[in-house]
Amino acid sequence: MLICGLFAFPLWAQNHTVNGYVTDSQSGESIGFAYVYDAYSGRGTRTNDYGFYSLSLTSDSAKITTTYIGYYQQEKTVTLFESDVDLDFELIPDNVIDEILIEVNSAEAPPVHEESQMSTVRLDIAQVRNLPVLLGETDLLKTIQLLPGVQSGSEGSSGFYVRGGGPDQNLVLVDGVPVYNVSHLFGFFSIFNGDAVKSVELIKGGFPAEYGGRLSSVLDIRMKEGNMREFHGEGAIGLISSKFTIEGPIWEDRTSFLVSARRTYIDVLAAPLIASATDGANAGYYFYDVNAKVNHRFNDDHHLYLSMYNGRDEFSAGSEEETRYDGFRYIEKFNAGIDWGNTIGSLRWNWRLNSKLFLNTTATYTRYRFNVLNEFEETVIAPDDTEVNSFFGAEYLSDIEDYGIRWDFDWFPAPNHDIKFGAAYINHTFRPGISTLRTGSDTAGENSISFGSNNQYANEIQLYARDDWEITDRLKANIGLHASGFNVNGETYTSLQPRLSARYLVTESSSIKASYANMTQFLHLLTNQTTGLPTDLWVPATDRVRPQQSWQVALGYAHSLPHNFSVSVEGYYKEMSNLIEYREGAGFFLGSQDWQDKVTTGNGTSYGVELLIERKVGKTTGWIGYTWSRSTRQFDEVNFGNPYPYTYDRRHDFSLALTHKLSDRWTLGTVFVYGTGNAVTLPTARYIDPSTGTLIEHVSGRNNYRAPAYHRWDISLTHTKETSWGESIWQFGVYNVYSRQNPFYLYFGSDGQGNRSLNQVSLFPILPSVSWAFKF
Amino acid sequence: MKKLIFPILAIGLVSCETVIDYDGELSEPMIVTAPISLQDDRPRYEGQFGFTPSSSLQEIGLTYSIDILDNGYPQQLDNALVQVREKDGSWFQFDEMISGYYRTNGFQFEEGKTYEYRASRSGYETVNAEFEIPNHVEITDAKFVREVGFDSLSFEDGYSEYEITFTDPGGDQFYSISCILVDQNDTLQGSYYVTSSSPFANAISDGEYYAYFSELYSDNALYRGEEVTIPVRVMNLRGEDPPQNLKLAFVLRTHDIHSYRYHSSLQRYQYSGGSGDPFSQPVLVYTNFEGGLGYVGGFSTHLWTE
Repeated sequence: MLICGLFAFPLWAQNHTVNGYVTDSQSGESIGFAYVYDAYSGRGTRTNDYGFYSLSLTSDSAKITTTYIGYYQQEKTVTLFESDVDLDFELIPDNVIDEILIEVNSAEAPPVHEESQMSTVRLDIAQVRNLPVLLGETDLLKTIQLLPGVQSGSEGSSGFYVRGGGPDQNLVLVDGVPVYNVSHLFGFFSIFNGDAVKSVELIKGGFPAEYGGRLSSVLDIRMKEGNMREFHGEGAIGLISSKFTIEGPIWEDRTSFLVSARRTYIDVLAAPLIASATDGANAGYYFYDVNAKVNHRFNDDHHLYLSMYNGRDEFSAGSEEETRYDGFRYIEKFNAGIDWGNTIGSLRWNWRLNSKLFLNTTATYTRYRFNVLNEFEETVIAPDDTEVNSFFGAEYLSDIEDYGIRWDFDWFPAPNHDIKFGAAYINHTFRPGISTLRTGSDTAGENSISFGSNNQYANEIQLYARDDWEITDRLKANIGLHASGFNVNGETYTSLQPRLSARYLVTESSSIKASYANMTQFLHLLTNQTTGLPTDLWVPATDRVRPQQSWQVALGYAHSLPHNFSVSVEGYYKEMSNLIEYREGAGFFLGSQDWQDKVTTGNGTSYGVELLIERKVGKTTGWIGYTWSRSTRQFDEVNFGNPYPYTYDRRHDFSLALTHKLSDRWTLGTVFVYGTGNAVTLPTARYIDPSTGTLIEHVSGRNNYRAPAYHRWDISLTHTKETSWGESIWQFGVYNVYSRQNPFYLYFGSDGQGNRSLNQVSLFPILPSVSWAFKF
Repeated sequence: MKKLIFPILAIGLVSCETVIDYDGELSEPMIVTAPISLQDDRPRYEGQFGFTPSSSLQEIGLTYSIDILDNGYPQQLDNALVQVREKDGSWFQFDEMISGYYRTNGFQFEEGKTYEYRASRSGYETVNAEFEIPNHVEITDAKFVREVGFDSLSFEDGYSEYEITFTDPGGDQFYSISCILVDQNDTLQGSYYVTSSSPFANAISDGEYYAYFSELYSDNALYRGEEVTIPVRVMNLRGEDPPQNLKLAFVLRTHDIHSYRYHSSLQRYQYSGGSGDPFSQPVLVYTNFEGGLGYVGGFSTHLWTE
């Protein structure tokens, strides 16, 4: 039906196509998802990710208004003489005042009820920066966790769980490139440097057809492109890290660059303390990340972007000890380390084929690697000074590496059709756990052996088409189909995934929305439920472990209220199949001869209701979110086949995130979160097995106990001062204001007086922070 | 690796540890049941895996559970009423011989039949369950395959590999295999630890290493109704001939589902060191009682000797 529709479009007479780009007047950067609206015809559209829009109109004139959050609204009236009318907009940021030469009005929030897309949230980066954060580190993922339908993992973790899905079911895209591990410092910080991020969009359901490969969410992050007109820099000095970003034109209005880097200095600060406390032993940890981007505009029709990201975490520990015995000296050296990180690159080419057709071609590269190293070396020095050396080393390596290319077409054939179609190819290489052991000595020589899971190679293709179709004045639907194929070790899987979302305008300010999405995921993440460590392994679907699949339906109501308030309520139901889980008792650290022997497959069900009250424009902005949800899992070989609550099954999840502009200089930010405690597995009784005499701690079921509720209140105060050279920004924050001891881990132990007790380990008490940032 | 990770988590992150209230109902004391075999009137190589038709002497051990916060230690349960019967038949009562040890002489289990069990005592919820005595399955061949020496790099023990062949009768079947030494009268004289990397066996494996136990468990999900050959590694046999007058033997036990689930989960529990830590998945030890713990189940054996 969609294909037939596509061929039918040329038959519909259209007189004029107004098209062009919407950009930032100061930086020249494109603005994606800006709302472009013709007041005469009542037709509107949004710019694509690259700032391009196309409006097909039948009248002889148009009054085009363009709005976007954080910018002044702009309006242009044009007479339409020709069939193609180029009309670009340069929006002025709303922090620039009194210098406006054209008539402007402060932008209003885009009407939430008008979009056919549902279950979607776009974050305002400026607001993210003003919210209080752990240790003063702006963190996109921790802000994402505050949205309804999104659960956080353990305390402080950047992992997120959407509508009962696992962390592997989130498609995290940076400039269109999938990222496999989004965390630094064992999950406490995300890899996204806020200074380099331009826009963030989270989709929780009703997925448009262009997205595929994950079951539960799409987090689409776009990095800044670099200022085309002026050199600018910004940076911050925090308690544990510092960062710096510089951007500017290489060729004004043609070529720009951006480089952003961040590094922690926990290792430097802690080194003297560790050395003094451990008598010479050393231990250290740091992470860094670097974003870089170059873009070149050949002309209005061709634009090229080159972007890369590289980040790494490294933990190391070592010691050296000397002992003497019977005239011999024994020198023992020990070194251990863990390092992991992502490398991402993309090359994008925008091509405006004509006023109605836009092509984006992207070549992508992504790699995530994890490496553990242990080395032990012993030197024995005899009384006659002869030496004998021996060593033992063990290394464990796993990684996943993708090369890909994709083509995305935006086609605007008619006033009421916004069509997107395209194709993608990805070549995956999986190295899921290779262990190498080395031993050697002066006398026996060196031996090494490598073993573990075999490398696996896979090819994935995706084809899609979808139409955002305004069927009537009140009814709009986004209809699409995503087709994908996956080939691994001679096994081929194919999948057809229909997608549908629709909205019906009930009144001028409210609408009902519904969606259906069928998703297939060809990758699995071998993950441990109890800790969030970078040891998780990405593995492909195989002939024994089939691709994950899900379907989800959602029904919602959206209402735009006066004063830029909006409210939306959504209910959803999701079923997932072919999920994997470690078998009971399986350790997760060591590689396996075949990981498939360690896992079992099963199903998951999730349903819930989400409420979001939001205000994006005004002195006070932010949102209140509430989720009621239930999520279960069922595996034949776990919990004796009985369904059990998912670890992050959270009945109630409430969040409040607000920023208030106290004055031109001071901004107050506050966050409050409350969530039902995680489902954890605890023994409930002890007994002796009469046949073997074994003392057994009886566990009545997987995730049989609710940890105490999680709640926390954070506040921040941001002071922004204009200086002769730019801006000076101080941020004072307090994390966990009332020092709530939230559960990180529970276990049965002793209360210190000989009585058995339930003990709770908590991580972060009240933590004040201060950071200084600057812009020029 | 655990030694490495714990300090990492500890560095500057663990703020405090507190005792918190247990927010839930603490477990009431429950009757814990397991068939045992203390007397010598049946072959010792059979082991304690439930009720078996090889003897008319039946034994039950009872203990009781305590809640997880109880500072005491669980003990034997005395003065209980313990009964067994063929399904829908007449109850047959066990006698308490010493505290927690119950016995009956003269009740003969038969292969292929279903039985019911119940135990009650004042202050405890009565427990009852149904179980079966499965038909035994015979090993048709046990063949020596190869000898593998100690691996100095991975520190894996040396082993002798045998191939055990038998024909699965179909339906849901549950097995365990043991390797033992017997004398000329087939009396148990010693046993070996066994494991297998075969997908037909459910050996516990944590990485490259396949754990050795006295029993190797397997269900027939991958060979239902077919002849199957399972390679079995026998630890440290090193191709040495058995001591004089002794011979190597393999025991194939056919378990009912309850015996199988209880003992295989108990083995996994013992291997993983308990009910879980942050670095391994928690293990649930099976029970087929509502309101009780432990199990009743049945099994049959076949002994193959060289």
